[in-house]
Amino acid sequence: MASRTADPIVAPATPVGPAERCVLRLSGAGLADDGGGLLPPDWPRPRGRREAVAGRIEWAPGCRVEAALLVFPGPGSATGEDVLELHLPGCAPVVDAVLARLYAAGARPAEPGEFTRRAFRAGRIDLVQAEAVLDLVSARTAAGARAAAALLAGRPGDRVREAREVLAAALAQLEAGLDFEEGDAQDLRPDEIEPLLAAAADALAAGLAHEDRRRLRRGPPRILLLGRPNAGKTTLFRRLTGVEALVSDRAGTTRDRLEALWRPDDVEEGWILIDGPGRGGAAADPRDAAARARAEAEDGAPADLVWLVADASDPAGRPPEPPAGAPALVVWTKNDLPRRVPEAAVAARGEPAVWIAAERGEGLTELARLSRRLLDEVEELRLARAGASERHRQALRAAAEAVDRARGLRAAGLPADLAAEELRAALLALAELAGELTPEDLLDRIFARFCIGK
Amino acid sequence: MTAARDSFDVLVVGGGHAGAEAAAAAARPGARTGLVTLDPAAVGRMSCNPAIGGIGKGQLAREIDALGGLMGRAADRAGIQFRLLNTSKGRAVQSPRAQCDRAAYETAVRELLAEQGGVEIVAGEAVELLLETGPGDPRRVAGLVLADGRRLRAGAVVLTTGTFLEGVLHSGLEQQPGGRVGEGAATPLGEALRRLGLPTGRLKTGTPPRLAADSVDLGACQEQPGDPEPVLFSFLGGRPRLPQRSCWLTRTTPRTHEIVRANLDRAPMYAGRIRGAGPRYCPSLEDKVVRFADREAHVVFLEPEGVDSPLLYANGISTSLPAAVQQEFVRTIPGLERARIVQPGYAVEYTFVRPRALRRSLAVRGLDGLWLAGQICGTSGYEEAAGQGLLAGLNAALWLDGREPFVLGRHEAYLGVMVDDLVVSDPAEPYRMFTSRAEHRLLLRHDTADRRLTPRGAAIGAVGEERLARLWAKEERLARARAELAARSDPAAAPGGRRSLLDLLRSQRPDALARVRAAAPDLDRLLAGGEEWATLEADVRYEGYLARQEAWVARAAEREAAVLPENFDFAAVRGLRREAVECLERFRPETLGHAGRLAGVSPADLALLEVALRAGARPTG
Repeated sequence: MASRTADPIVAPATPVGPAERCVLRLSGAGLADDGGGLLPPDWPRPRGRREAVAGRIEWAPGCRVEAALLVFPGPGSATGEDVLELHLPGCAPVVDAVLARLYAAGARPAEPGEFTRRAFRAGRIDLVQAEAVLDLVSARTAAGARAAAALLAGRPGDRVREAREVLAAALAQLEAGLDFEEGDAQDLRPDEIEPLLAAAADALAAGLAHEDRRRLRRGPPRILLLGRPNAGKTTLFRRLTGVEALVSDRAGTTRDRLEALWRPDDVEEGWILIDGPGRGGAAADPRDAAARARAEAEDGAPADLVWLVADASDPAGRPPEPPAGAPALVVWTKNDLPRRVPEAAVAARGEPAVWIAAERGEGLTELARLSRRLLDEVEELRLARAGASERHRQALRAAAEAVDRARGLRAAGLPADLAAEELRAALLALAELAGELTPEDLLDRIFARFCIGK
Repeated sequence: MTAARDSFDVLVVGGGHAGAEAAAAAARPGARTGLVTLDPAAVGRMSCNPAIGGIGKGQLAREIDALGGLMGRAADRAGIQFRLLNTSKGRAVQSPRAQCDRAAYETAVRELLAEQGGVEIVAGEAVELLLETGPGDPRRVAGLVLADGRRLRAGAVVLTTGTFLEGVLHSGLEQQPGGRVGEGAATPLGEALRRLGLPTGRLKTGTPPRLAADSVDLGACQEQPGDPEPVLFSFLGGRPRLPQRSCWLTRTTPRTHEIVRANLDRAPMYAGRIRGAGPRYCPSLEDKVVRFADREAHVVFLEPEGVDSPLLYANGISTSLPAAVQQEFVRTIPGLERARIVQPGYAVEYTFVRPRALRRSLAVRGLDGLWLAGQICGTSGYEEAAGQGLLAGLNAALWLDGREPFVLGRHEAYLGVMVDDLVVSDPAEPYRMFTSRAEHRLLLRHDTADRRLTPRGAAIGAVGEERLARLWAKEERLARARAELAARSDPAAAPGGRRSLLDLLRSQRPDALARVRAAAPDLDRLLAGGEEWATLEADVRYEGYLARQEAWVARAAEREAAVLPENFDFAAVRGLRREAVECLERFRPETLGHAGRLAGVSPADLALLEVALRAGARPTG
């Protein structure tokens, strides 16, 4: 397949958030040659050859950060097109501002798997490699979709769906007016459109605010400790983090969800351990039930890894079922006591297992090693989610702007065909988050609502 | 009556809007064409309402004209009321419509066919396709067998059977075979198509009663006159030939609805006699009364059937209730208290071929030499039928010459949208064009059909020199006018402000065009009338949006151009979901763009498909 002029795409190649650096990757035709018009003049500039250029970027008026630009001219690059890597401090507002500049200059967020497709098409990777990556992308997309579903299960997601619904209703009103003459279409209520658009604008703003909060919350990997009451979670938690929680032998003692940092050797950033009330048994008192409910609600912002903690000295010791959406490993505690849990119960579990004695510090190195391996895999997923989140934000912003323009056109008394165009653009932007509105869907709405036809 | 010859290049079955265009389009590049019809005197007949155009459909009619078709010129010759619809809603959705003299329209179609030449009309009923299997070749269609036993040979056959394919007329609970009142049906052909393995289904459509004009009190109705400056369909220009007439509006009453409700058990749709699905956009009065029970009135359009016709077409009260009930409810409508029904409304149920069996050239997949167009593909409407007829006839002729099919993109024409929609859908109701079906609607204005299509048609020899010359002359006038406006200052601009007349035109002010015309009266002599001013204004005003839509088109272009071979093995694509494979095998999309529009194919499926396709197209290494 002959290579065509490829429009420039951009995506974060590392998660956006508090980190030492964030890498934005761009691919497109003509980028190695002075940036193909995408880079402002005062940024580090590519000079048509493979090199690294250091410089400073003014990301906000008067605010500069150190940045490095790695230039990989095509066809010898990963995608066969010119590829640029912009290395920035891992600070969300900086990355946001830089992305906004790139979007404004004509780059667009890469679709899932788009770098790979381009690489394959240019012959830079073979079919087996492309399929392997696309399998992963497809899994990531599914994981991203699950993540988005989890995210959208709460109120913010409702706002996005609400925006889509009211936009669709407004568009149906407009389109019925465009596709049918007065007299052909009855019951049209053009005065209903502006309130619908105002509601859509509010909902989109709320959705965008939520996405912003969500990405700023990102930090070190999070590990959730789950286990029956008194399985030894809290002892483990205290041993690793040094943070005290109220512990007793009475079931249900730990009332509040605790978060603290554990820094194993070689893990610079550390990991956040999340301890919560035990689950699987009846709540010992009402206060405990309330704490448990709250903790379960907060599980909506899920962990990257789950430790399923179980007591090896208890004949009835069983690890809890792992929650969906994160890898898990089984931690058998109290390994210094005689092991009473039946072999069959141990063998029945598919997750990797670690045996520890927290009080004595036994098995903790192995726990760190295994956790690290699983978190490395999760890191791949975090990348995918970062990309997804970026696309969501871009989509919400584009939709909000289109709704604004539609309202402006209507307020100026301009013909409805342009306002309809803007609403279509808004719905198209939201398609990934809230589902596509096809022409058939639109016609269904029109026919369901209005008495149409001669 | 015997045909002068029994061997043709292209044979068209059916003489309605699809058939007439198909025959003319096949003959224009030089194919020896025969048009087989049950009744040569009915070629070009308007079975339903006597009007051409309307929203979405007016654009189709102009596109047909831009490609050299008959419909636009016939409507211009027969028009008795011209209106541009949606004038207040933006240039992109404006659509011309013409009320036509029913008799003059079919006469015009027959005259235009005769003027063009190359089409021989054959009276007869096609009952069977002649099939041929060459050594090692797949089977192919080689002609037709007529009911009287004649065998006509042809390299290509286009079927445009309309409502006649196994047509059944319903009037009340009575039913009889027929495609139009007073005419027969094509029953054996339906069975012949099923034997060939084509997937078929049933659809229905209906007509309203026709009233004696002298029995209607138009004084009690609201008059709807035509436009003072009529916009015609044909890019060849001209003026209305016939005296102009008005249409009239009245409304049903609660009493009308009571009568309909009381007789629903005698309506074939509601008594379960009709199984085919009817269109939601053109509901029968029975449907309206049931589905919108709280409405007290529905609009009825009284449309003259001709300059001096004794008939009025009562648009809006399509019905298949028994004639006596129709007579009863019609008289509850203001102005119709003494109305006489000359021809009661009726419903017709007919067989169509599920369009997923077609390629975008409208050729049947897996059976060389056969094309379908019009209602047989599951559509409704004269313009939809004529458009497909033109494409099918043209493609049959191109195929005989061993040339590439003529396929229009969704961004190029409503014709492209229609064909593209059809082959990826399984219509549950007759497909009708709406502007909302076109995602690139702003690119598809009625006044730019010539700019979009005439050069493409001329490039394959389907459009004559005159149309191309007219187009270039018009574009030159528009370019000159534009340059003039850019060079002149707006006299009303604020002091010190420098604003050209072109800026004023671009400004989206409602009165911009009027002010520009007043400031540059000399350009009225350059541009040919208000229509060209309107084109110039729309070109300028929509520029930003057009650029955006073109960018979308460019992004999609690669997928639209990626052809999936006809024998592509979807099941062998690694990672493709089972549901996606089934959907792809059912519709066998022609391009990746197509595959992406199938409801059962996700973006991830499409990515896998794309990689597999490109792997096949590239030497492995």
